[in-house]
Amino acid sequence: MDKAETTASGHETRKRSNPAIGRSRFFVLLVIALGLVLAACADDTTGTTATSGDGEVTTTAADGEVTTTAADGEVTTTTSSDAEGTTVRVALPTPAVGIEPVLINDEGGLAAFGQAAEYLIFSDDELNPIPVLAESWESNDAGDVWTFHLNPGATFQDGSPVTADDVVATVQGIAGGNAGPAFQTFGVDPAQVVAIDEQTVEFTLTQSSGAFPFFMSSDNYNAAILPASFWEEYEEGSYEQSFVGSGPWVLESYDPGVSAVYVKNENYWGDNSGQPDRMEVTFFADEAAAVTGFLEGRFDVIPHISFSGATPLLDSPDAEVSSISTAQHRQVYFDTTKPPFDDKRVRQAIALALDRDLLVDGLLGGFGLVGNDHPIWENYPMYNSDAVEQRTQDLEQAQQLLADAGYPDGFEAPLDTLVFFEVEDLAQLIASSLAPIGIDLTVGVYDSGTYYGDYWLAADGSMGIVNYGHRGVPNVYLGAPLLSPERTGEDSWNASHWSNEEYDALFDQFTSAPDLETQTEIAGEIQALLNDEVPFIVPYYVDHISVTRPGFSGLEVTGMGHYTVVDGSFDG
Amino acid sequence: MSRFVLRRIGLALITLFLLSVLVFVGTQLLPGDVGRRILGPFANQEAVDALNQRLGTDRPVLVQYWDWISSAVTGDLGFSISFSRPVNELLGRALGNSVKLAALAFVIVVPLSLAGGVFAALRRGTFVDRLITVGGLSATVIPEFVSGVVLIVVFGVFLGWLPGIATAPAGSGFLTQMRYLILPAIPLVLVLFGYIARITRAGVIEALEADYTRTAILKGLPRSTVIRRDVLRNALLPTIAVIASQVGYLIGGLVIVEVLFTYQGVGKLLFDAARNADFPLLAGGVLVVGAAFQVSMLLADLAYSWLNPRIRLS
Repeated sequence: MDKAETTASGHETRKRSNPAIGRSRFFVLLVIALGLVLAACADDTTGTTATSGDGEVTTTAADGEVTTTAADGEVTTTTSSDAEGTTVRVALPTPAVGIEPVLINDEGGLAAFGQAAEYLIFSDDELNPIPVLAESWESNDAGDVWTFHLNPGATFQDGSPVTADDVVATVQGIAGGNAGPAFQTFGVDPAQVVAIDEQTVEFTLTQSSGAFPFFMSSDNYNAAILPASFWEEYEEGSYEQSFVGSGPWVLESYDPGVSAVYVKNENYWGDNSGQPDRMEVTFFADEAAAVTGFLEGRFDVIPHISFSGATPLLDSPDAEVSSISTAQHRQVYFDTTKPPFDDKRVRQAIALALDRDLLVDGLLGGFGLVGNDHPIWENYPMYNSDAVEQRTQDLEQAQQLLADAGYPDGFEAPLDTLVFFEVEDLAQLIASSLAPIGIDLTVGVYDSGTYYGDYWLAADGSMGIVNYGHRGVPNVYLGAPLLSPERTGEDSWNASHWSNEEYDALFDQFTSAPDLETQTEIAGEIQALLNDEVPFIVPYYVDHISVTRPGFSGLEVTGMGHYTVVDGSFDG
Repeated sequence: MSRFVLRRIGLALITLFLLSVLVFVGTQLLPGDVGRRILGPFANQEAVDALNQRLGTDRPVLVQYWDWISSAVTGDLGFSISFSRPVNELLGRALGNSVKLAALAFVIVVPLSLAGGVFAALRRGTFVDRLITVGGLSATVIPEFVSGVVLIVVFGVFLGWLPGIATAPAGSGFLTQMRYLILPAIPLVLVLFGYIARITRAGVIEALEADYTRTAILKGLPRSTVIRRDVLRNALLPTIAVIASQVGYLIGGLVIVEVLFTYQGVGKLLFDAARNADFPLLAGGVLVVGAAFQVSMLLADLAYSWLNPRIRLS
């Protein structure tokens, strides 16, 4: 390197302290960059900023959001009750599909749908059928003809009355040619739904059903009553343009996958006088993001959250965590058509190897109830508490049953399941629980599409875990997942491939039972039979956990995933 | 020049066509059919079949593809299966969001990295130089989901200085929206800073050691003039091309950042589309992202040619 090159090099330049491009120039550039950042930071607040004597800074934004920065740096954001009224901010899971009355099949969708639309009956968290658009209903003695009498005061958002024609159009719209989900399985023949008069609708079912009102309630979340005029012009995507309905909220804006804003329905036919004026819903694909938003003060309500999601909020002074018991449960099923699971002693042994209290405490933080290997939840009115004793862990008996079945040294088997809340951890805990009795499980965890497409109903000699959401009555659990596959055909959800004539007969008796006493008696027989046969294990029932901002009251949720804030209010 | 541009546009169209074929083949490999994904595992098969028929997803693959591509060339990207909305509408909104985030990241990272790179070159071998080069490189290799989570936890949750959810409340003004985008912009700045700063640094060092710089100094020109007229003008050429080439990444490659910060840009929309096997939306989104990459690369080439008379594009 010669002298001139050395002179021109950066190294030499450094020694000369670079008089031309000095630090100041680069600091200027940095300042410009930081200035732009700060400019972006600046809120377009048109309200006021006030500093109190103790250093607390309060900023009121144009949108009514009040941000308080305490002297210690703690920031809290609340919603003001100014001229714009009270706003409640809600975090919901992103709807899996568009808000389509025909297609909705997930919690985010039904929760968003259920704000502007209403059902004939609302199935509340204590399984009471609350009259909404229907003020009363009755059936014939056989239970296959049901008559609903509509509330004469009920109106849609535009003030037009809710009539029997609207109910008929809704049922035909959902169960007719628009490819609705499980609605058809409830015995409804759309052609046999008729308007007797303006306020009376009659359903003639293809099979008798004592629980039919629940199938026309919010339990069947597609069955919200919409105007006949909507169904006449129905096309895919049309509902999202209006969110038409008779509910207490009117849609202001909807951004698919992002947010929905509702305002109070000032013409609501019922009483919504205590309702907040506005509800801002933000959708989240990820529960953790909703929790983050809550911790930041962005939300007032998370209507449903898992135990693991709620964990950061359990001890937070800024959150109130509450729960209701639900019938939602996981089913640990076996392929009962192939060895070793074709022997019920093997299935019983596995059921006996589980410590259910430990599962409820460890996986659900105590937010659940232990199951007893049948899907009749203990809060159902027909639950028979005398039918069968609670199964508890007994490894000695489990090993004896395995030996009796010809597997004294255990065996190897796959256990397939899906990514869903705590289910993956449940699979691992089951595997470790069975190791002491010699059963070596290989756990496979798949995304929902792969699991349901390739593993759920496969007759491959495996075990698996599947989830069943809450229902107001157990008919769905007792039907497709348990009836003989040859009886249900393509509509079978019987992952165990379990076939039992005695059970099929009991199911028919259960669904057509004329009164609760008879149904309870039959339920007891079903509980005992399933507990003995163990086509699947029900390790526990999962509570529905909600989170609200302290001071906010009036949130009502159901195990199905509906929520209402009609009576919601902020203290002060 | 015009021949070059036309040829590049032609190649871009071929690339986009191949891209659409790849996406289409990819969606056919996803497990489960569309009707089943929409209606859920417990819907009866009759309902699933009816929905597939209504959506047209039960038709032969080539028929579906032909239908879609023949509409796409007219500018109609079809109807989203999962959102029940026209794809154009969804993509338009998401593209607007992505551009906002990209613009903010650009406004922060370009001045910072240029200044950092020039400063490091002029202080070559010092602690500041090593801090900028090693620190920048370290920041570049931190995955966005790591830096993003740390930013959310520290600045969003614990300090509460900035929102960790990037979606501003409905009806927010522009500046409020920008405020919500600061945290998601930072991981992008971290990724790009080291890259751009190092390119800038290398360019400045090369220019400082060039004969024309030596000549200018020996002529007695003031050092500031030499740096401004000779060094920076030559050193920043490759940097500008590198910056322009990042536009595509910033508009369409932010899947992780947008999902992490719950921001409905093109990346998150593509993620949702893939999850729901929503072929029209996925294919439309990929085409838009592919077009963004192509346009940004073309602009980079044109900018480089315009700034450097020695380059003649033909």
